[in-house]
Amino acid sequence: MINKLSYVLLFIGTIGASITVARTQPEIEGWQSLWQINTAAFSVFLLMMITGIVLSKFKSNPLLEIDNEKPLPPLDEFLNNAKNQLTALSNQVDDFSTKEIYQKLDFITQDNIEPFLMNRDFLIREYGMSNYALVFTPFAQAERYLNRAWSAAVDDYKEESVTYINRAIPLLSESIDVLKPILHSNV
Amino acid sequence: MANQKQYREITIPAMIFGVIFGVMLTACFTYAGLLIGFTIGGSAVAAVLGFGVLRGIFRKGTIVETNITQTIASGINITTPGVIFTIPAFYLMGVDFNPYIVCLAAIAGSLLGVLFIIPIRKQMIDLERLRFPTGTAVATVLKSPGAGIEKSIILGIGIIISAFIYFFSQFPILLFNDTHLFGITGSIIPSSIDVGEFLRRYINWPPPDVVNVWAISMFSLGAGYISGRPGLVILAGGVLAYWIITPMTVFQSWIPTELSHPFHASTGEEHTLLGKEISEWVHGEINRPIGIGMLIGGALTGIILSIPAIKASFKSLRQIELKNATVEELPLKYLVIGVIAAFILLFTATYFTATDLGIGRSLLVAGFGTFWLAFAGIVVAQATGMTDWSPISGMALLGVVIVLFLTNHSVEASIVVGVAIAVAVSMCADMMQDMKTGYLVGATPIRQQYMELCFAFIGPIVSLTVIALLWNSFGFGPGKELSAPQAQALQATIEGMEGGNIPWPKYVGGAIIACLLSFTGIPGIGVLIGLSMYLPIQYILPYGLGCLLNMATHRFYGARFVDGKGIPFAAGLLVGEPLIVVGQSILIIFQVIQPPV
Repeated sequence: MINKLSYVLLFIGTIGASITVARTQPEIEGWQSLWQINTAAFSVFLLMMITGIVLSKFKSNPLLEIDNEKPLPPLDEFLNNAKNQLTALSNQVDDFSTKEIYQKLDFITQDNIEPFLMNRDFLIREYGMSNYALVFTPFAQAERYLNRAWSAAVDDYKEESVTYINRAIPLLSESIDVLKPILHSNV
Repeated sequence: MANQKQYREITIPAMIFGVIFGVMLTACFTYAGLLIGFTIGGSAVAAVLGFGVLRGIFRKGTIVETNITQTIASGINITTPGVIFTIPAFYLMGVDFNPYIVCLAAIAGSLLGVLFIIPIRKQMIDLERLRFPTGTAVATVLKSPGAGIEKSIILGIGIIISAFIYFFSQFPILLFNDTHLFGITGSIIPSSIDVGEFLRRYINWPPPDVVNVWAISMFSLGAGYISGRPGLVILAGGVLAYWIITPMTVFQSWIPTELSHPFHASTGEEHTLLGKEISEWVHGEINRPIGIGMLIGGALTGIILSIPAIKASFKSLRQIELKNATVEELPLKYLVIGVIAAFILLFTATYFTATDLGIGRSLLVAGFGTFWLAFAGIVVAQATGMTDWSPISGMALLGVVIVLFLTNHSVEASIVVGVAIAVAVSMCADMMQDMKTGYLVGATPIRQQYMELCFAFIGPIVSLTVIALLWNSFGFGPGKELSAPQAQALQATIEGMEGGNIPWPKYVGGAIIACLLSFTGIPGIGVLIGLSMYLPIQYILPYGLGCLLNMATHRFYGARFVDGKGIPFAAGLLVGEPLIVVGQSILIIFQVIQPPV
């Protein structure tokens, strides 16, 4: 109910405020630089927008929103799996051709990295921008290294590919180390 | 192991072909921009050409090496939008200018654009993970050798369809102006479809001022698909601007009498055209200024709300410097040097161009210009990241207006500062697209940044030379073959400003609304709605359709389908259209075919 009301208020407020700003009397000379906005109406619509925003924040307060039946996404598990599979790949790399390396990287990305990324909004919403930034700074670097490892494998540069897989692993560990206490402190 | 050599990234062939493609694209897009009023980023074309030459002909180009080629080429070419928006205004207004100072301002702007994105790369790409549709499309092209045969075929089909449709929608322009071909007059495929007019024939609705025209733009459709759900805000903003505010403005009679009176009196074709005229008037005088205000308000609030992420970016950059770890992007000291250089350059340009200003006011202009370079760069980079469209002209226009005010109406000084601002913000947008591509293919950011710093100066020289040649050969302006529409807009604004007509209430109102919208938590909503009020509706609609198609395919076929089939196809659509634009421009420049009338 609160959610719907907040959307309605925001919607009407935005449209109303925009139309109020559009008010123009072009027959008056120099109309472009004259304040022709109906200030009272504009203020009412802005107030509606503010009320809508406040209500939406009230609704999205995690303390009010936690759904005990819905399991939390296993964020640390995705990263752990990725790290373990990359470590295994790195240990057995001599057994694989470059084609097999980039195909395995594709699987690791699809099964672990992408699901983790799909939950980034959840991470921001539940744990805040600062915590999100702490987790994602090393994660993003690891992801870029994996992208390079993939490109190098496609280009048949095996040594380069392995180097960057090995560089990505500690960065994923760093992300996990930062993520774990955040998850435990809030749930 | 098959290959133990160092992984090829920065190589001589990559640099040589990057420069060749960059110069060619700059000449083509300068011409195309003076003709049609906007340009398309050259990254996609450069990637396809680089891919063909380095991998196809030389048989040893790597993915990251081809990425360097496209980075250099687009870094040279991207100064074009900034240059064509500002420099032709000198010619149109008959203002004497020093070409060396103007060229220096443009070169400085291009270098500063590279430096100003140092701290925002991490924030927008690593943390905010903005889509940068062209950057993503270019990465899809570069990664096609390893993406599997199916993805490559889908990408190729997308390119062919897009190129085919664009070619045949331009067909009479290309070869057969004012002639009939197999009994066909006009385009074989129309360049746009007026859905509103079609509906009016049968149900007499919507009214003519509610413009419902769809550009047959595969580029916009592809960009929308890659943007996905977040891009839908653009469609919402377009609906607000064109289908709510515009008819409401007509209903309330907030339009000039000469537009409103015959609108009620006449019917038929004349009626329809008048509806479009009304829509264009509302767009130019009302929606566009509100949109610019929203862009500024939304961006300012967005920056404030992103302070934690910005802090994390700076901290991470500083930690790398302190740890003396492998430096992967330009250190922050380059940014400091950039800020100081920008200040000195703008002070020099202002002081020596408007000699009666004095030191105090020149310092003020330099201070504002430096701030605006950085701020507008962030706004444009964010808008590009979310939608692929960048409000370069809007941000430069506002910069010029404020400088005009600060310099006591010195047109020459304002345009010179405007050149630096426009080129710098163009560069910011392109650099971020290239950085996104680099991220997706695993390139090293600092190498891309160095390459852009080394070669960016070429773009303004080529672009200025082409403009001078075209001016001497054809001239440009209203009624001429090359109308230079963006420069005309700048000219109109400067002349309006001299008459005291600045729509500042609409800027302020728009900024307040966007500021509040930014607190909803929907990423970039203020900037996106502002951008959509600023863009033409015919491109917003196919873009919105692309967003909806992404959501529909995601819902019915899943994320794997979107990534495996949808994105490569959309990337192809994005690449095909610019390829034809380049081909068309080359043929016109060499007078093989006629320019459009």
